[in-house]
Amino acid sequence: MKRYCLFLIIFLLFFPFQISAIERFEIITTAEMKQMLTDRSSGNADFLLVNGLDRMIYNHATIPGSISIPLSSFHEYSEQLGLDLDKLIIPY
Amino acid sequence: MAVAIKQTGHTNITIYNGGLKDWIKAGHKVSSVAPLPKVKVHFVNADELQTILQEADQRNCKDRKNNPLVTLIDFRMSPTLQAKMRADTYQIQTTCNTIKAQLDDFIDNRELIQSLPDMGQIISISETGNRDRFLVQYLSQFGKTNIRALKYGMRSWLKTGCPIERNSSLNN
Repeated sequence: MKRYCLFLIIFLLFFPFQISAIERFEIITTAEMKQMLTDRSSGNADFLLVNGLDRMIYNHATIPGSISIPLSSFHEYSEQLGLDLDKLIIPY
Repeated sequence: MAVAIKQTGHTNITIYNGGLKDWIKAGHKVSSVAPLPKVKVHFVNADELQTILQEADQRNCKDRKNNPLVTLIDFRMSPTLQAKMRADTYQIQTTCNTIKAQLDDFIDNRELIQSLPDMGQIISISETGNRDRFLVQYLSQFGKTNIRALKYGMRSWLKTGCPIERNSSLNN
């Protein structure tokens, strides 16, 4: 058993392989979202609010100040994300 | 969505997890470009749909006048996107006609809308049944009022153990 564990440790140390992990992102609440939109409208915050729902749903109802990038056709609309890679983006 | 954004190189991403649903629930205002008419959406559950399809399949999915008995609208995530997300591709097993399209494909698409038969039953299929009301509401504007939705979508179909066919051609 000890030998097996030792072999496993050495294997993990010296044979790196791609690990598919679950991505982790910060999450905000509805109250925080509301406050951030208020801050943005008064010039105290800068971010991109992205509605990832279908365009039909976006057209029907959306959070004011959102842009539409439907996940189903993401690459078609992704240029709307802009070139500033550090800019805060909030998808929903 | 956040993963897709991250793949474009953007690093500063925060998710509003509650989404539109929680936003509306909290009583906040929404904006609207093209509001959909209020229409009551009728649902069938997986067992009911299975019975409907079994009966239709036995009759080759046609009535005596050669009209379709049942048509399915499968508007789940596109097979291309499913493949990218390494999701399995499958569909409800039936010999009845299944129209495969994305929700947004119907926008101002007269040809696609007119391809929906006026005769027989039409059942919409989404992943979870959450988006069906938008399709039903949208199509009602074009006189397509004979559409019902699968309750809880494909998820319930699978959970109930109803028949599916895995189809490699869906990846094409």
